[in-house]
Amino acid sequence: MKKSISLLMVLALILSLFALVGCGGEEADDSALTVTVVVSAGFGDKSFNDSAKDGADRLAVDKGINVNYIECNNEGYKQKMMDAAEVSDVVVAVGWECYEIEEVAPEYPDTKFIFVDNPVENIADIPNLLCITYAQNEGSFLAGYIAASMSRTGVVGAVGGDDGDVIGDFLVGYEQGAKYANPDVRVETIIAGDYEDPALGKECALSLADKGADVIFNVAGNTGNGIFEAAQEKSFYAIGVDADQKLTNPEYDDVIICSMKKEVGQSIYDTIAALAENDTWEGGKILVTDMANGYISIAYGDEESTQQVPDSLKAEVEELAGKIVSGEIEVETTRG
Amino acid sequence: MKAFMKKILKTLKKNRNYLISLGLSILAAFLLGALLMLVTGYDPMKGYAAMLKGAFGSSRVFGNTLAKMLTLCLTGLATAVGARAGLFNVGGEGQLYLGGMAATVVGIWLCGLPAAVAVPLAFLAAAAAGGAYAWVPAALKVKLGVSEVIATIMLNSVAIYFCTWLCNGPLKTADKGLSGATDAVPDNFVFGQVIARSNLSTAIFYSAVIAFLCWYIMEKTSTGLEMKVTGENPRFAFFSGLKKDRIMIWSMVASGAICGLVGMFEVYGYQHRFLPTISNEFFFDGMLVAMIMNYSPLGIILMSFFFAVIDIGASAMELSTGISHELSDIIFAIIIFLMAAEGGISRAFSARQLQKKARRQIGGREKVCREVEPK
Repeated sequence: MKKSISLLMVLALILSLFALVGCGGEEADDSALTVTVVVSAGFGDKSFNDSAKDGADRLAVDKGINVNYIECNNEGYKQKMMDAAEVSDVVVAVGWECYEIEEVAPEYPDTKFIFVDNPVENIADIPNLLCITYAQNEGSFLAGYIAASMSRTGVVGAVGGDDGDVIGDFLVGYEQGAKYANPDVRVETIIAGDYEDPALGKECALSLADKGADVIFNVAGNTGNGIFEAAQEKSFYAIGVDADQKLTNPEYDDVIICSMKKEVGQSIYDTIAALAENDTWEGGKILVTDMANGYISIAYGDEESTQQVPDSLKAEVEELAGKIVSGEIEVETTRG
Repeated sequence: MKAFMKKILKTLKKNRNYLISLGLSILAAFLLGALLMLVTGYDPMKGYAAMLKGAFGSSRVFGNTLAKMLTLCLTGLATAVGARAGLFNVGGEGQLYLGGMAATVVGIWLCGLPAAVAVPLAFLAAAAAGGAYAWVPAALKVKLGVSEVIATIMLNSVAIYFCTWLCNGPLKTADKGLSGATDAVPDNFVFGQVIARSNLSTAIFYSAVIAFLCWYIMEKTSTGLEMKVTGENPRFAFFSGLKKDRIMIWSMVASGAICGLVGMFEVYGYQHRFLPTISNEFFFDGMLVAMIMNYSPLGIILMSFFFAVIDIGASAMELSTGISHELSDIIFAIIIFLMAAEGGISRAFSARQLQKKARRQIGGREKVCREVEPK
């Protein structure tokens, strides 16, 4: 009997909680744009995906835009883009696995789509789709130059996330830049084949270190975070990617000498801010962002970060950046 | 008709305690889920409403729910087919990958042929690849006594990495913007869509046939009985003159073949090319459904629909209310946890019943008190 009374009381408590919560509830601002960011993997990589999230977060704060996120966790990309399209004005798809955006966008002509990082073939026929690609080869050239200049062993390494065009673009630029600094340098690369596995990234970095590499470029998202751990253990240097990783990973400030910053978030921010404020929309096109328009750069953290790269080298990099922008140095690319 | 109803009632009665504890587990899981929503500051009513809307709200999402059900149901049945003969197939994920890959390769190679020739060949290839991959651990088990659980788990990784390598190496597509995927299967080979925009393809009809066959063979034929006898007591099966080794091996091969076909349905149904992310541990979800339902084929078919609703509904719920879709995993986990304790719960339940009965007898007829031992 006692038991059933106590059970009843618990039930009553739970029900009263229901009633309390029922009173709350806030309505979203209807006039503002709704943006949904769909990432093929998940957040928490402290580089590519988080950069996109950062851009969208800032849109919410600065422009009062309603922002939603969908992490696909490697499942059902197409349907999740459709889920997003049904409730938003703009859908931002992040990650090559969302290539089916090409089929989704024409189905939802009233929704605008932004596809980050990769072009789609029939872009000209889809006025509500905008592809943003990045000249990561230009920044990687500078990263390679720094790596080769800082290396004592004459071997530099890179860990790539997959064997696609975008990662290839990083790697050719990196190798060209390294050879530009030191024609005798050896560039070792490993393709991890995964963006979500720091333990794997650590293994890759350790095996590169065994081959003599003492500066390793992270081109593998969250997998790359394992490189930094390996770098601390074996005391070699690493180069960050996409975000300024000296700031996103302050615990590895001592081994990350610089980052090849690819401003995914900023490009999303600018595109959507232009849409929200001036109703500007450059659909049906591929927007190429590069060093000239400021979306690709080398970052060395802020004034509190340790500076491993000497000022003289920074000046050289600055000069090279100018030459790339002016076209004096032509960086190889795999973006076709 | 009357006889049929009677039969259903009889089955229900037979499994009464099981069904009651299942119902209670589900109820408890949803209540705990609601509690979690409350604790994290959301309205559970809104949450569950959004979940239902996410699974039934439009023809597209309903199609996705059915497509998810198909996957869960077939992988669950595959587990059940193996388990019925006493082999626990944990390697369905690998068999699914290889089946999907085999069907994709056949589709790409035979791109010039008419669909009526190529698609059946793809079916055969998928079933053969999955079946052959399940045969290895089954044969090892029967001939050498190697634990099939460990062998199949390990073989999963082998198959997944092998397919990932194929996607990044020999079979890598030249299509722009894709890294680590095969070419697309020709358009005239892929299954037609049943509901526009959704993932639901004509694979649902093939699945229905497979599911029916599984149920029929397991429940209505002597083969099913032989499997059951072998699974429950291999020594008894042996001394009754059953070819237990053959039964075990073929059950496992059938289980693998079904998983292989699921892989093919993923590719031909909606992905249209093989990506290393073809399955996100789909097999293990199906396995859980099978375990919850005690490997009963009919139960698996019904339960997979329920799980599909929660799974598909949860991601829509996340988008519209902000409640994390991981809640669906928590609900699953609680149901599974409670069902694992089902034996104890239903024993307690029947003991309580017996006690009540005894008390009534004592009170009503003033008979001599006799101790009633719970079972």
